[in-house]
Amino acid sequence: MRLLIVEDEKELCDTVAKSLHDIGYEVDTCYDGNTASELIICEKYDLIILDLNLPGIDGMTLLHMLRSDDDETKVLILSARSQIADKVEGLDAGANDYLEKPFHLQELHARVRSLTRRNFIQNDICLSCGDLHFDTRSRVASAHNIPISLTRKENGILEYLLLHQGRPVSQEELIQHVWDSSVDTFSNSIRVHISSLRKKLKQTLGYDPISNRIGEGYQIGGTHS
Amino acid sequence: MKKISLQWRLTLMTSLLIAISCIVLNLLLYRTGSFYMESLGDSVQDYGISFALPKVQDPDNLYIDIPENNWDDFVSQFSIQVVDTKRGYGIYGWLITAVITLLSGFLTYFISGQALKPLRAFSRQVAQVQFQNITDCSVTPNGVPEFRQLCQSFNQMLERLSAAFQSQRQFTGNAAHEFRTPLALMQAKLDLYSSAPHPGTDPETAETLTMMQEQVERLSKLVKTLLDMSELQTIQRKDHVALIPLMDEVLTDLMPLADSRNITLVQQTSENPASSDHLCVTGSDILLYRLFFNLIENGVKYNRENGSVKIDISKEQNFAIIKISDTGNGISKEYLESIFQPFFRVDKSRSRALGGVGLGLALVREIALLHGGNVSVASSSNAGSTFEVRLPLSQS
Repeated sequence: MRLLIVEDEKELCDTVAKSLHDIGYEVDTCYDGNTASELIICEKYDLIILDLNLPGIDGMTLLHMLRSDDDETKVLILSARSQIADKVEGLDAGANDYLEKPFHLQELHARVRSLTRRNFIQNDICLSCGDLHFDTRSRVASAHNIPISLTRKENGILEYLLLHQGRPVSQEELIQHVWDSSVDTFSNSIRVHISSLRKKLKQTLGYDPISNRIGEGYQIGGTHS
Repeated sequence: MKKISLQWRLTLMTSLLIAISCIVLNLLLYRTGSFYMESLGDSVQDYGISFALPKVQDPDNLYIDIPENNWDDFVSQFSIQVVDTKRGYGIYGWLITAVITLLSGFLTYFISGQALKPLRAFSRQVAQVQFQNITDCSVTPNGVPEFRQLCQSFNQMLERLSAAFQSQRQFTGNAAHEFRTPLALMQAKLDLYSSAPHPGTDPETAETLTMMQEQVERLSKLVKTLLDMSELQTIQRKDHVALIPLMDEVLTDLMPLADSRNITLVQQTSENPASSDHLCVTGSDILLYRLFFNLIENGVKYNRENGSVKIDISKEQNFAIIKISDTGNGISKEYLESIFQPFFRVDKSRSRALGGVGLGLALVREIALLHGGNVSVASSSNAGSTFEVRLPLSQS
């Protein structure tokens, strides 16, 4: 796994790089937009961690450049901008995830794992997180070997969250992937399904594995803050 | 005098002026009148003395024949008559003065009221300019020249005020923003350090590190809340949010916290479930979530063990009324308003121990106001307090 970190705060960049290197990733670093644009063109990365405010070419432009001919490379935006509008703009431009500064390294690691693991985890038949398991073939969720009876929608949500565990999944993303495009009000119906799913899981599991991160989405697994 | 309304002031002053003019007029008229009357009387008496027998035959003149033996009698009667006339003239004069003064005073009240109409319209406009909508409000000048100027100065003042608010908000936002990168670096360094085992660390260093971790965490939270507050205005408020599912989600999210303190969360609604779909508010989903999350989280945090938090949603005309009652210690009367101020904390050490930064309720109030609603403490006693949120329902 090869990562690129683009971050103008040198110290922060190196710290993040070291921490990711320690858990087994090959990491390149770069502190400005111009160098980053060259690296993006010449090298092939699995994941790019991108700051938005950069000297030279700024982060958003870099993202557009990358996405013009590359849909494979995952991009995680790491930014001091926290406005919802910025987040939406970044995700719309093709970023896969968005993390606000300041952040915990564990959180970043979880997100990175989630983004880089996606390809092979989809081949597993059984998804799991802690004591919770989901069989994608028979479409049955279970905890401690006790099956949990869920509705079709709830199964869909659980499967999607488990597939992307470690990072929050926004309501919009869930609607796109779990609903069959006929959903009317954006948040209200999904909210009802999620709440009921969480109650059912808690009943069997003893705790609620899903957390709701304000403004970001629902997350299963990873670090909870 | 200062407490009297402008209209009354004008009326009183005008009345006073009328009264003084009338009195002077009356005094002068009375003096001239009585002077002439007296001269009439004098001339008759003079006449009586100089011409004892008025026998002049003049066809042009009025001829009064008074027998000589009655003459003295006539003179005395005439002088009495003159005195009576004078007194009557005086009394009527005063009476008329009084009536005219009262009447014109009465009229002045209405006329000045009419004249002061633009002022009343102006004050109505000004009353509508409240703190919340200060930025998108101005007073339209009406025809009267004095008011045009007053309106202008007022509008300029409003502009300056809203600019001041704006720059204060921006400053907080920018400052908080600048804190983020150094904080991120500190956080990352600390995390990196603690991720690997350091067997040689002495207890003092370990303690310092833990303390720093906690404080960085706190600072991050504070910066985040400050930014949230400064960005409130720019967040779009166009979502159609159903309150009951929203509340359900907030309760699900707070369940672990409530469970850890053995506090029961109860949601009830007096609306029947079929019509509860209509309990929808137009606004920002995220902000409304935060509003209720903060309020209920407070209810859980500042509660006693084995207590409860009750949430009651009802409808009152075009408003949704959400009541959140806890079984905590209550809030003393003098703090009922100030708890909504930024950085206000009733018990600093306790709230810090619970991880608060003193902005939760300030954010709640800002959000409620932004959505055209309000939040207040409906009641508070030793047995617990009830917060009441009013939000305008969506027009469907």
